[in-house]
Amino acid sequence: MADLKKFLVRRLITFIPTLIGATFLVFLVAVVVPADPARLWAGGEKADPRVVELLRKEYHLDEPIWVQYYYFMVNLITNRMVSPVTHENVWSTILERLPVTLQLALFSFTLVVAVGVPLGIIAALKRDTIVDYLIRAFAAIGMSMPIFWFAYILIFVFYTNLGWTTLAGNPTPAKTITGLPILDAILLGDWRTVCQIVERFWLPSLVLAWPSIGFVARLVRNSFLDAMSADFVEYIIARGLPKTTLYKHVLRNALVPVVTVLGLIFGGLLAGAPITETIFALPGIGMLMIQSIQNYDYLTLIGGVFFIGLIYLTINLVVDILYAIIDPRIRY
Amino acid sequence: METLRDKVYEKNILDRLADMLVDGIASVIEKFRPGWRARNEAKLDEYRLMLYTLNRSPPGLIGLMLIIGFVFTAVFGPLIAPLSYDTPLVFCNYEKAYLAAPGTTIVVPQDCNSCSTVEECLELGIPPGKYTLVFGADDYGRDLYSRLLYGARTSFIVTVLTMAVGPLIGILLGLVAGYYGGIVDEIIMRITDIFLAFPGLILAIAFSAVLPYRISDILQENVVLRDFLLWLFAVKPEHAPSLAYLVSVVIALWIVWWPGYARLVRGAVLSAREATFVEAARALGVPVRRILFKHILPQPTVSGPLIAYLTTDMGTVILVEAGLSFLGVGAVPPLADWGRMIYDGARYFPNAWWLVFYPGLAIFLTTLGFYLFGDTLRDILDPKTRRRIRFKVKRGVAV
Repeated sequence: MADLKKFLVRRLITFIPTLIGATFLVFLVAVVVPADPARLWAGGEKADPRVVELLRKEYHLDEPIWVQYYYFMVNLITNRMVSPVTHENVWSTILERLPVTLQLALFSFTLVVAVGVPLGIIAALKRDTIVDYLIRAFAAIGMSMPIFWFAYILIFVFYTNLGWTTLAGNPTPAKTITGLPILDAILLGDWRTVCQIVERFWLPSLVLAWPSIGFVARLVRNSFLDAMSADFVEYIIARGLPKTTLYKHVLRNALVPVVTVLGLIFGGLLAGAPITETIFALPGIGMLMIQSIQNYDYLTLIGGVFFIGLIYLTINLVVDILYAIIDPRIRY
Repeated sequence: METLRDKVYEKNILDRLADMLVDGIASVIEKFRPGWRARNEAKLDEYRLMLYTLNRSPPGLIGLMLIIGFVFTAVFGPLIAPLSYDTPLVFCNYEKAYLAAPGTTIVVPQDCNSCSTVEECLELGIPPGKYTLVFGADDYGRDLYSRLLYGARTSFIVTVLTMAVGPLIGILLGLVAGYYGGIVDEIIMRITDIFLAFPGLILAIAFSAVLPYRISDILQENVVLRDFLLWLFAVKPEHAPSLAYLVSVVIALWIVWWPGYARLVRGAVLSAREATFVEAARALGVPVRRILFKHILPQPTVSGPLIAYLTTDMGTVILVEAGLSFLGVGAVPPLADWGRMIYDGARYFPNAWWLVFYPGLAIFLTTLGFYLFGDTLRDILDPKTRRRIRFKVKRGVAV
C-alpha cells in the first residue's frame, strides 16, 4: 500500500501544474493569435479609438502576456470576468449552461453502459459466430459514422415521420432543488416534465452515445476474451465448477480496463458535445463555445475550455486513483 | 516456414496474387541489389504470411477496397468530374437546376435561359454539354457528383498533411521520453498530459477558429507555397483566400494529434528498452539515434500497434475534419468539403435529402474503410495472430 500512497500523492501534486499549463495553453491560443481583439469587440474597423483604448485597459490587453493571464485567471475564478460581447459574467454563463450538458452526458452514459457492455459480453460469449460478426460490424459502423449525418437521418425518421421527439425548448420543473432538471422533476414527482425531458433528450443522447457504444462493445469483447485466455480459467474448468462461477471471475478481470475507459468516456461525453448540441439546439456548454467563436467572444471561449479542462482533468484523476485501487497488481 | 512454399497447401486466387506481388517486388529489388533475395527469404515469407492473413479477413479486404477507392477518387476525382466544384447551373436554368433532384438532365446551351450561344455560356463559366446530375444539385445548381469528387481531394490532402506531421512529433517525443526516462520523460509526459487534458475536438475548434488570421498573411506573402497548395487541393486561383481555412485546420490538427502517439510509443519503448538486444547495442556503443530508429522502432511490439493505430487514425482525421467543417470552422464555400456540404445542405433537409445523405455516405464509407483495414492490420502485424491461420490441405495429398 505504500506504493499506492506514494502514487496518489504524486498524482495529486502533478494535477495542479497540469491544470495551470492547460489553461495557459488555451489562453495563448485565444488571445495572441487574432490581430486585435479590443478593436473587434469595439465594433471592427470603424471603432471609436477611445472605446478601443478603454477595452484594452479593462482587459489588460496592453500589458505583458503573463500579467494578462494572471488577471484573466483571477477574474474568472472570482467570477468578475465580464464578456465584452454579451456583457454577462463568463463563469455564470457557463454554470447556467452546465445542467443541459450534464443531463445530456448522463443520458448518453446510461445508454453506453446499458447497451455497449452487454453487447460486448454477448459478442465474446458467441465468439466467431454470426452474432459476434454482427456486433463487431455494428461497432465498426457506429465508430465510423459521422454523427452529424446520422443525426439528420434520425431526425428525419423520428421527428419528421414518426413525431416521437421534440426539437425545441428545454423543459424544466417548476422548482429547483439540485439544479439538474431531470432529478428535480423526479424528486418533485412531476412526471409530465420527466416525460418531456426524456422526449427531448433521448435522440440527442443516442446520437452522442452512438460512437462510444460501438467502442465500448469492442473493448468489452476484447478484454473479456483476454481474461478468458488466462490460466485461472483452465483451472476453473478443470475443477468442474459451474459456468456462472467461471463467468463471474472472468467478468471481474475483464472489467478492470473497461472501468477506466468508461470514466474517460464520461469525460468525453461531457466535453465533446458541441456538434450534438448545435444540431439539436440544446443550449449547453458546447453550443456556447461555438457561439462565442462566431461572436469573437474569446473570453467566454477560454472560460468554456477552462471549465471543460477542469472537469476532464478531475475525471482523469479519479479514474487513475480508482484504477490503482481496483487492480492491486498495478504498481507505480 | 518451409511449408508455405510447398505445393500441398491449398491457396486461393488471392493468395496466388499475393505470391506474385511479393515475388515481383523481390525480383525488382534483386535487380538493384544482387543477393538481397537470398538473404531476406525469411522476411519475404513473413510478408507472404501477412498477405495470406489479409486474404482470410473479409472486413480487411472490404476496408482495403474502400481505401483504394477513396485514394483513387481523391487523385483522379477532380480530373474526371464533369463540372467544376463551383459551376453554378442556376445561372443557366433556375427552375431546373435549383436543388435539382438526382437524375435531372440539363443540356447546355439548349436548356439555358440566360445564354443561347456557346460563347455566352462559357462566359458564365458553364461549358456546354449534356449533364446528368446523378446525385442532384445544391441551391446554386452545383453538381453534387462533381463536388463529391472534389471533396475527396480536400479530405485526402488534409488527412495526408495532418498524418505526415502530427504523429511524427508524437513518435519522436515518445521515443525520447521512453528511452531516456527520468526528468526528460517527466517533462515530456507532463506536456503531453496538458494537451490530453482537453478533448481534442474542443482544442481543434479553438485553434481552427483563430489561426486563419495568421495563415492568410503567410499565404499572401508566399506565392510558391500558395500555388502549390492550390494545385494540391485542386482549387481555382480565385478561391485562394479560402485556402487559409484549410491550412488552419491542418495546423490545428497537428497541434492536437501528437499526444496520443507520444503515449503509445513511450509505453512500447519502456518495455522494449529493457530487452537484452538493446542492452547489447548500448554496450557496443551504438549511438542512441541508431538504437531508437533501427533497434527499438522496428520491433513488432512497437511498430505493429503504431501502424495499425496510424491507419485507424486516418479515418478519425477524416471524421474530425468533416466535423470541424460542419461546425463552421474549416473549409468555407465555395470549396468542396464533405462536412461543409452537409452543413450547407442541412437547411434544405429533408426536402433535398441528397445534399445531406451523399456527402455523409462518402465520409462514412471512407472512415469505415480505414477502421476495418486498421483493425485487420493489428492482427496481421502481430506475429502471434499471424501464425494462427490454418491452411487447408489439398485433397489427396499426404503431408
